[in-house]
Amino acid sequence: MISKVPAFAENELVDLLKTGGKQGFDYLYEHYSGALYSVILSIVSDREYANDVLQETFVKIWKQASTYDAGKGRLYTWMIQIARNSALDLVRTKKYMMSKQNRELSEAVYDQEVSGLNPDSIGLRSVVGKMKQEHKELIELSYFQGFTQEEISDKLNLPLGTVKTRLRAALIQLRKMYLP
Amino acid sequence: MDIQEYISSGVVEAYVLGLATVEEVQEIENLRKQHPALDAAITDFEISLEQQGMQQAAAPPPNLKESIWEKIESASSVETSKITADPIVESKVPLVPLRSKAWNWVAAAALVGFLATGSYSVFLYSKYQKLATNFAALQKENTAEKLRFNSLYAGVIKMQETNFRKVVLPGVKGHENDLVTVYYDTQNGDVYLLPVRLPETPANRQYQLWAIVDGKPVDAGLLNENCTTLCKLKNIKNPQAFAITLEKQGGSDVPTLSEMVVMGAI
Repeated sequence: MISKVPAFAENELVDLLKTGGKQGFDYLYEHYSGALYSVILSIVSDREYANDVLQETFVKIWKQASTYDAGKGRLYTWMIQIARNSALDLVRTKKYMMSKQNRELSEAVYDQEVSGLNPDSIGLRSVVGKMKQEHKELIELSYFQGFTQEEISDKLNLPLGTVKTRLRAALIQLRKMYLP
Repeated sequence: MDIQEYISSGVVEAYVLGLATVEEVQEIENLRKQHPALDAAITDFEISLEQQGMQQAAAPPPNLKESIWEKIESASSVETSKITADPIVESKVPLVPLRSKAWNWVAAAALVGFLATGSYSVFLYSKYQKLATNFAALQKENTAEKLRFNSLYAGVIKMQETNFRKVVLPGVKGHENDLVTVYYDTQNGDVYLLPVRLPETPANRQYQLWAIVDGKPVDAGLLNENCTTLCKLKNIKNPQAFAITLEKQGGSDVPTLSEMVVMGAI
C-alpha cells in the first residue's frame, strides 16, 4: 500500500490518535486497516460482516484512544486485540451464529479440517496451518474462536491441566515459526 | 524465578495474543518491569507479529474508509440533534401502567442511553482537557508574540523622529555576514541597538558595544540574551563611531580588538 502521508514514529502516532484528528485517522487507516482486516477475516469469514467489524474496530480505537498505555504494548498489538475482540463479539451474536457461513466454519472445526476448508489462509492462520493437529486445535479454539481454557477443557473432554500444557506447547511452537 | 525459563514457557506469546488469563496478565505486567529480558522478549514477539501481520494484510473494500470516518465523526458529535429535530407530538398510544413489561424495556433503553452518554462524556472530557491545555499554551505564546510586536513597533516609530541618527555597523573582516544597526538619539545621547544579523554567542561569552568618543573606546553596554529586537544600551555623549566585540561574560574594561565583529562611523 503506497501512502502519501508522512511517516510518523510510534509515539507521534499515539499523539495523533489521542488528538483524534482526520490526519491521524488517514494515516492509521492507510497503514493498519489491511492488517486489522486480515485478523478480522481470520475469525469472521463473511466479508459483509468483516466490514462491519472493521468499522466497529476503528470506532473503538478512536473512543478508547485515551486508555492506550504504551507501557503495556505496541500500538499495533493494542489495535489487533481490539479487532480480534470485536470479531469474537460478533461471532457470538445470534445473528451471526444463524448465518450459514458460520455453521460451515463450526462444522469444519469439529471435523478438524479448518485449513483444508478455508483456502483464505491469511494472517496467523497461515502459520497455524503448518502446526501439528493437537496444537492447531488449541490455537483455533482459543485464538480464533475465543474459548477460555475451561471451555476448551469441557469441549474436548480433556483435563484443564492438559489444555494448559498443550496451549503453552502450541504457543512455543508458534514462536519458533515466527523467530527461526 | 528463572526468568529465561519463564520467557520460554509460552506465556509471552499468550500475553501478546490476548490468550493469557487475568492472573497471568497481572504477573507478566509486574515481572516485565523488573526483568528487562522479559520486556525485550515481549517487544520482540510483538514486532515479529506486526511484521508478519503487515505483510499479510488484506485490503478492505475501497469505499469503506470514508464510511468509517463518517461513523467516527458522528459518534463523536453531540447527539442532541435527534432530540431537537423531532417536534414533540401527542402520543396516540395509551399510557401503560408502570408495572407493564414494556416499561422495563423503556427503563433498560434509558439506562443504556444514560451509560452511553456517560462514557461519551468521559471521552469528551479527556478531549476537552487536552484542548484546554493546548489552548493555554497557544494563548501564552500569542501574548508573548504580541508583546514582542508592540515593543518593536513602538521602537520603529520612535526611531523615525528627526533627532534620531541611523548608524549602520557592517561586519568587519571575517564577519562579513554580520550586521547591526544603532539608532542614536542626538538630543539626549540614548543608544538603541538592533541586531540585524548577529550569530549566537558561544558559551560564557557576551557581545559588548563600544562607542568611540574623542578617539577612545568607551563601554556602551552589554547585549544580553533578551536583546533579540530593539534594545536600549548606555547613554553616550558625542560618539564618532560604534563597534561590537565578543567579550567574556560580564564584559571587559577595554575592547579585545581581535574579537571585533562589527563597526560603523556616525
